[in-house]
Amino acid sequence: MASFSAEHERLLGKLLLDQEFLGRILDSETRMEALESLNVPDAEKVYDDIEDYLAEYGETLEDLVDDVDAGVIAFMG
Amino acid sequence: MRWNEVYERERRAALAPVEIEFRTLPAPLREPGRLFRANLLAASGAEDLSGVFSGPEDHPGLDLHHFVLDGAGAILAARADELTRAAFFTAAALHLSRSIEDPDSLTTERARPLRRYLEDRASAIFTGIFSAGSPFRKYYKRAWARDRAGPGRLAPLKLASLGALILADWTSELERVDDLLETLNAVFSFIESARGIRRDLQAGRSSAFLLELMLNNGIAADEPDWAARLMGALVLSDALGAPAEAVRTRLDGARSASAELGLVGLAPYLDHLDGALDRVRAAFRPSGREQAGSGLLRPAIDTQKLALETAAAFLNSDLAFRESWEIHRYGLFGRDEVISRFPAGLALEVLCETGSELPGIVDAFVAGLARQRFGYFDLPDLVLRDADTLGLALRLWDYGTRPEGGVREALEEALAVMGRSVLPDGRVPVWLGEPPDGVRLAGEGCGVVEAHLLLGLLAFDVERFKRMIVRSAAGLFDRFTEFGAGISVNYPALYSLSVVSRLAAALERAGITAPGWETWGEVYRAELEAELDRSERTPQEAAFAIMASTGPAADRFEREWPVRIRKHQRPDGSWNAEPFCFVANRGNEASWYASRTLTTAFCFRSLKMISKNGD
Repeated sequence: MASFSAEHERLLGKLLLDQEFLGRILDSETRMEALESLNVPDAEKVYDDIEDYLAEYGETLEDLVDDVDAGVIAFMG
Repeated sequence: MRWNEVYERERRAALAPVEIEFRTLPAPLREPGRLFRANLLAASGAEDLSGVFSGPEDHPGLDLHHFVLDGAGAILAARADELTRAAFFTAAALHLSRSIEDPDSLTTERARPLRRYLEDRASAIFTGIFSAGSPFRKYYKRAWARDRAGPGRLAPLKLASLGALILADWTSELERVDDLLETLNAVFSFIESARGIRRDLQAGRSSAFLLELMLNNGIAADEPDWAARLMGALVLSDALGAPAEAVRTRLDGARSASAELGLVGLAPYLDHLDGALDRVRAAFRPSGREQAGSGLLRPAIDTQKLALETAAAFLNSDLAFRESWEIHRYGLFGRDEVISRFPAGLALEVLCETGSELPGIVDAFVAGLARQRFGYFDLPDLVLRDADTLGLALRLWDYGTRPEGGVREALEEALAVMGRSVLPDGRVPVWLGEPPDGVRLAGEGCGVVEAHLLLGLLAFDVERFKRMIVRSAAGLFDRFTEFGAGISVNYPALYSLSVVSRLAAALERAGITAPGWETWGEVYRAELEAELDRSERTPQEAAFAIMASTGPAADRFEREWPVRIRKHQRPDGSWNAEPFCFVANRGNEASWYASRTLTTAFCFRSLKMISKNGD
């Protein structure tokens, strides 16, 4: 298993927990700014490592995040 | 056949009377009971109560006694049905407890009597089966004691199984079976906790389960971004792996124990737990997503964010705030209809204070007040000027475009009347001017109205009114030191405290102090404690508690306050109307003014305050 640093864990965790941040990362126009906002040295490399790791399993960040399941219940009467 | 379908026929037959019982609950439990039933059906997809608590991922509490008996012996079918019903009521009581305690659910404390009823129903069934001398009683007490202690919350779901073994005269190994079922509950609990990891981490909610995971993975509890790091470690470093394998070892031990005891019927459930452990572990690994199926990484709904968004949407849905208008239709002043839009102004102020830019709406509202010459009612020919309306207009002024012309002239006229009305001791009266013949004005002497006006003067032009503000505020805080929240005539105590706190903060910002003011904070804190103790614990009271507890004299916060607010929010983003102030009714009587709009505005404001504080 590949070994990852605390920074890798923190960045991926933030992506999985913070939908707004994930949206900014997935948008190539806002990605750099979002990564810089983390104040993590080599944030871009950390991000690339995560993408590469997921790609090894044929996964992307979007794949890891399921959508909120809302509005599926409707009561009548 | 899936493990949870093995005894489906028996379960459905046994629970048919429960469905009837839910339709005929005692009157005080009918409404919470119907709501609880609707929520159970919605969550499970079942068509009636015989289909709940029996999904493939549910605890097998309703069927477990059948599994246990398969290998241990037989009991009368009627007794088995009774045990199923007792297990149902037990599961329902435990489920309802969790819903009440879940800060993200909409189940409120109003469901407590129903929860008590459900436990009592289970108890009554067990009491009908087992005599006082039965060994069952020991296990009953122990199981509920474990539930009340916290971590053993599934323990009461063992009772139907233990009872079945006693009925089957299979008592020699009861302790071992109890241990075995406890182990299975621990495995189930681990899987449940793992399923909720993402939801809990999103909410920044810690638990013994999460702390153990962090400890296992070298993440300190006080580490910044601990939630993000743990979430990342689950995916990148298989943080769930070692704990899951430790749980599997316990499961293997349980499997051996059940074989030794001859409880062969447990095998399908043991196999299910084995598979569920695999799936929950795989869910966090990029290599295991297919195996895990979907949904385990589904994010939680951010209830705080949702509450704020929907409350804002409700308030913005009608910027005239028509529902909040104070309308009199019983012949006040001899007219068919008299309207005050004062409460609408308070709602508008909340939106402006919390960041909405609505200059056009504010201008239109203040122009409306100008047309009634800053009187309380929308009656140009009958002007009853008051300090509250004037204070509101002054507080709103800077959120508009500060218009000149007629509106400004009317405002200056009202300010001049106010200036002439100041009493010799510096106090500003509530009513600015004499009432017309035959009209008696109530509510005079309210310190909160005076504080509202001072907040307006401070916002409008502090330098111009400084002398007046200092005299009035000195008297007001003197009275507060003597009477506490009793300075208010019209407004609720916690709201009154919040206004005093807000005024103190505004004076501090303006660099205004006066001799003797240092003692008011002590009185304030004592009053706040007393009022919080007296609070009726409604959403609006919680909102006022937050507003009153943030300021120069008090800085306290209880996590329960926003939870109480959020749990009572309606689907349209509003809250039910709660009493706010007295208004006249039928001439000589008073009624409470209450509106959904104003209660919503206060709930919204308080939730915004704690969001700003990083809750």
